[in-house]
Amino acid sequence: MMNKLDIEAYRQIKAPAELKEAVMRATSKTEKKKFVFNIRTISSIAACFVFLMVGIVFAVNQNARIDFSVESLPKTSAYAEADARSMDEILGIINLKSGSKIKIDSISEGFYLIDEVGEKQAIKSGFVSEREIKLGWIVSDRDGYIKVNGKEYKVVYSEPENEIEIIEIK
Amino acid sequence: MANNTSIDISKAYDEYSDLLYRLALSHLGNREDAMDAVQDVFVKYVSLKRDFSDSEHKKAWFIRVTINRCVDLFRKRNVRAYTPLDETDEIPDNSENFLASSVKSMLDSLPEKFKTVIILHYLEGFSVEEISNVLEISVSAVKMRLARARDFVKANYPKESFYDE
Repeated sequence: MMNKLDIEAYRQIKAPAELKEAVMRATSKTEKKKFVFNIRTISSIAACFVFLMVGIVFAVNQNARIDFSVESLPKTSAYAEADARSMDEILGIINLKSGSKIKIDSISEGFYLIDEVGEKQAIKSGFVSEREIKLGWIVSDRDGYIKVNGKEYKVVYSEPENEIEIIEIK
Repeated sequence: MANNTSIDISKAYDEYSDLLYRLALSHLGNREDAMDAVQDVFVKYVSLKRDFSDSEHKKAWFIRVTINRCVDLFRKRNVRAYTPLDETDEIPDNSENFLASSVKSMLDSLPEKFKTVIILHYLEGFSVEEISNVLEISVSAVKMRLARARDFVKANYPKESFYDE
């Protein structure tokens, strides 16, 4: 059965000529697919990286961002005679909230820290607090300035409207 | 780079295609499936881009992957039945005599793991050590499979014998 002639006949079998063409064609397609796949992979990774970086920057900014809200406005006209009213009547209260720490880099005169029991405390540059603080501002004809977490804000009181506005300067 | 790759594929093809085609043909029994199997092996070669330590390592990889591919195709039962060339419009090649031979019938009757060692040892002339390297099994396992394959042939084809080089 498996004699020398059988073996010789077997070994004379050659791959058909058309097989090489088919192999080269198939492998060429695979190479192209791999190239396209690689380009797509690299593009996808790059896009993911960009999104990730944008996400990180956004998250960091969100954390560092300060949200101001005016809790209460002066009860009487701020520009009236000072001796005609108590300090509470001309005090605006502003809440500062952040996703991270709040650092007061600098602050103009007229601001106080309102503590947990509602008492006014002195506040000065370099004060750091976790996430939330309450500031009292003695409204006068001068604008207030606060530099917090590296950003500067102007605090403006509008007399007829009895409004306090916080404007980001830079 | 694409040029180097196509040169490399062409070189590997020239080196191994006949051997791989013979192996596929003897496992699958028809030239179309054998060609498909060999083509799949080269596509895999391009896809994986493996590093081989030497030419023997590369050759062993090609043989092993071809055999595995043939076994897969056979298990999926999508191999075409053997059709004599005079019943087809195909271009004849030198595989026709082998496919119609009693050797092929005997191989077809063998269990897969016996068939592979018989083909590699008696038809391709591989040593036991080379088969061990190709199939990634021990030398004693190869010897065991060869002995059992011979026993199987003797039991089923009592008049036949193997020609050992």
